[in-house]
Amino acid sequence: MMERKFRKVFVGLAAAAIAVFATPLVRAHHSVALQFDMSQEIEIEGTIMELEWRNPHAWLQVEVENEAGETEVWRVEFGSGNSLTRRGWRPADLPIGAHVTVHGLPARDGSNTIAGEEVILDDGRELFTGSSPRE
Amino acid sequence: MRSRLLKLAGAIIGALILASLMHAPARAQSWVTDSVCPDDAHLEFHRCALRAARNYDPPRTVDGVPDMQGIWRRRGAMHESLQAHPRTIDDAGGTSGVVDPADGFVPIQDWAEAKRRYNRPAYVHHNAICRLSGVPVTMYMTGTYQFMQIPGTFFIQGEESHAFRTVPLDGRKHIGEDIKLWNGDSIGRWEGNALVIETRNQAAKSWLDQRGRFFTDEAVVTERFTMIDANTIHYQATIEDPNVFTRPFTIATAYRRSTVESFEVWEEACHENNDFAKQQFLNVGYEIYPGITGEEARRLSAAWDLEEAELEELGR
Repeated sequence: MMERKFRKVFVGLAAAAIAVFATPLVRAHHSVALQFDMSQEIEIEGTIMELEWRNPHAWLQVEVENEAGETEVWRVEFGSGNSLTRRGWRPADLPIGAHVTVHGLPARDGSNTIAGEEVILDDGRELFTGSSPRE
Repeated sequence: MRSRLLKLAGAIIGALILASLMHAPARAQSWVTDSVCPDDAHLEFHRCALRAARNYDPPRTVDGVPDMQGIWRRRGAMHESLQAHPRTIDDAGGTSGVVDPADGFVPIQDWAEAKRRYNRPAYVHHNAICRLSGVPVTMYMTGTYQFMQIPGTFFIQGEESHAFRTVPLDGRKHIGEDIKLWNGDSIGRWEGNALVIETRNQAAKSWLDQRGRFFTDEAVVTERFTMIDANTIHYQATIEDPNVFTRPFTIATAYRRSTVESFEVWEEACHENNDFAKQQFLNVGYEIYPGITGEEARRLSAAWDLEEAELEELGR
């Protein structure tokens, strides 16, 4: 019960922080809200299966163990490969097999897809994504 | 667990604050802000720029025309809405980009406004599926552009799906009216210190903004680029499409020179259709915008007028 309560607090705090501070990071050249639910923030944790470093959006595939102990594949959408490079990311930062925690917005179609906003690596590095760094 | 979650929440909030703080100075430093017309609010900038252009003698290229070469950053967020719109979690917001008419509203016909309101929730925005934006949208969709000049040709490169423009300045005629192109057929000329580009023959399968404002394949767009100081260009675009609008209207914005000398415009090979993301839009009910021809617009307009006449007859 306590765990659930704090998870709600965490989600609420994180969502509030995103609304206040991080809005420039998620704006894009097309509406994000049509594809993702911007009122929610979710977190996944798992192992990188594949990184597609490309335009107009890079994608990360993460193998996640769900609450039932089953393995699921989640897709994380980033900004463009160009924008990630300008933010200082390099493909080598996200090697296959690395353990990551990803925060982002859930897809409106209910698929295992996140608009990735932040990736936390086990070594403590925090990588921010972004859809529109060219503003 | 409680401690770990609190730490995690704290770390995220802290990181987001840091990211926000890091983001702001980067935005402030990436274009020249010292200008004879420093205000980025579209109408105020436009009025100031019209005055400033009269008194500015721009640098020249070897063939004697204004030298606009360099990396430029467009200001404002007209790609979200041509009209004034609030800042939200999904929008940067901003003042109206429409400077004529001066009320800042797009002079759209009634039937077309009804269709616009339908477009927005019905269709995927063209940018999300890698379609070229058309003119003038391509000039305010992405943020950064490189202008290059050789005698007789003006080049514009951006980072949107190979959206480079090669504009001949040799007085040639437009291509045949049956040929439709994603970014249309652009031909330029110099009028004093202003580069004037006229664009026709657009496929009209994109929108003017994220609010679903549209135009037909018969639209004529006239752009004017005028330097008002060494680091500022006054950009105007007049859209004429009597199929959709009650009169021609003009939008305007500032281009500020980039302060990042090493900045390079990179190829952005938009993956064909952005297929995976496109499927997500389709999964929640959006469709692909089919575009609209002038003929289709006239048919819809006539049907609207017929309905209006019937309602008037009924006293509604």
